[in-house]
Amino acid sequence: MADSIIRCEGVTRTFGKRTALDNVTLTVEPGRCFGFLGPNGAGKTTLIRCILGLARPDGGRITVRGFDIGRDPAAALARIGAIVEEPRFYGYLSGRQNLELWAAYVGDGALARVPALLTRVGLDERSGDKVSAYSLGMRQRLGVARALLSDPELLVLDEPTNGLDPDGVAEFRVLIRSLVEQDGRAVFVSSHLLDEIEKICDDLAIVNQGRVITSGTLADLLAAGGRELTIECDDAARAESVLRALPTVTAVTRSAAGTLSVQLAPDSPETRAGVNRKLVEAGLDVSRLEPREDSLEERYLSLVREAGQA
Amino acid sequence: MIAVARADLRRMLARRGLILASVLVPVAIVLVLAAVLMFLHTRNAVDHPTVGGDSFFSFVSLLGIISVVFGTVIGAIFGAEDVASGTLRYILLTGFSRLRLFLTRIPVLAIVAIGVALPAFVLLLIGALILPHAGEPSVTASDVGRLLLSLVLNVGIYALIAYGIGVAIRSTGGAIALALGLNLIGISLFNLITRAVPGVEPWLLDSALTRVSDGGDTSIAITIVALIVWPGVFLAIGLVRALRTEA
Repeated sequence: MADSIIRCEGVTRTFGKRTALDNVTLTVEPGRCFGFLGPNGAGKTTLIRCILGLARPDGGRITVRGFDIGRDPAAALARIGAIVEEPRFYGYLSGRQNLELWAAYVGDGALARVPALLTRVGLDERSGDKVSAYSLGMRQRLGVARALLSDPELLVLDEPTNGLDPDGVAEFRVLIRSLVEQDGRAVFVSSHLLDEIEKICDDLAIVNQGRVITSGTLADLLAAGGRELTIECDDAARAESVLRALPTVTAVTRSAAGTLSVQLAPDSPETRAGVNRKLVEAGLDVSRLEPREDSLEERYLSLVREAGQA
Repeated sequence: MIAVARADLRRMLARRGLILASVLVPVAIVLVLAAVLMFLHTRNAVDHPTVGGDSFFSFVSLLGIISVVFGTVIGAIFGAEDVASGTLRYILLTGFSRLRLFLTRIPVLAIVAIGVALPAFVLLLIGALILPHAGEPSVTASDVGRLLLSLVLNVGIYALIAYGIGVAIRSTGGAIALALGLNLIGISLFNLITRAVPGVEPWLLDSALTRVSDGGDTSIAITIVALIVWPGVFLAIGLVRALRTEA
């Protein structure tokens, strides 16, 4: 855990009476894509601004690459690239001129990386055009190229697919995964688009009203959700009563066609084989038993509702 | 810092509309003046014996006002643009500090603002030397040096004041409007009002700039201090804002 590329401990930020971040604690590991998921206004951009030293938290501590962002921002930011809110450029300069300008700020051989980065984000043919003539998707890709100028260990992307068309979203997804899988970089991506997070992230945290309501690997989060089994057998009514008697079953519904939907408790140790065994032991002939895990959307909505009720 | 200053200079020069207007409008005014005077001279050389010479070169004061306007616009844009357009945060994310950014841009701005004023000055000087000026005193090297220094100081100081305002205001349009209002009216009005206070006059910006262009008996030291303090105050306001503002 000492090697976490981002570590937020008890980060709090308020705007007047409104608490934008409430005791946020999370870690991002190197070489992983971390999704920061939450509804609009949940505090995603505020946390990103604090991580990047663009805003100061009222409480808590943030370290980036092991450096305290408040005390040693230059060291913390030395190998970080980011897109915050939206990529902004000088519209009267071309894409290449913009990158060359930022390369001067970055220093450290960044200028030499400009041609390769333009190729990587697929903008080499349009690099001489003024940025004011670029589509949003092109500006996003140019934003990624700018973020890569410092050859960063970590990329922080705030709602990177906002406003992109489906092709643009698909291209962007491939680009982000390549940054993680081919380059071994860590990517911290915030979004309110569940589908995007599910497709590109390894780990995630869900934030609502400034609070992190859960965090961990995507696989663990989905596995921790309610699990459902679809069952068909020769006697649905008797099967229903057998299943209702099981302590790990939270709900059973029977369709008119006799198909049973069985909800297992999230932390239930019950396995598919275990349920099947109970039915067989009761003398039932099971013809279909199909598991279905919660989608990220279902998990997200359930967690956000629970947090809202709490 | 030199690489950044060079890149920033290239960026400013890439604003072709602004730069061309800043160069060509004063040049056009000089050319129109010369054309009108030549026309009058050609029509009636008795009443209008002189086109060039010292009297033509004295239009440098008009050139000064026009150049101050453009210097102010350039300074205000230079100061406000990055916050207004959202590019400041991306500069800060490179690790380049706010203080270095603020300081790096001062010489870049001075080069651009003064540089765009020079072609018209050179044209005015050429006109003064080559246009007919029978009976008029010739332009001396000392005049050229004094008026060039005056133009450089006028444009440079007002551009720096506008830069400080631009950084503080953070909106390009607002910064241009405020800086123009302050530079063209506000400071002169302030100078006019406070002139009545005994002992204040030599310290006023107008007085110090006049001391450079027209001479006078005010102490050189006071003039130099006034020329440093006036833009210094506005730069300090801009710097405080630059260090505190969230990008």
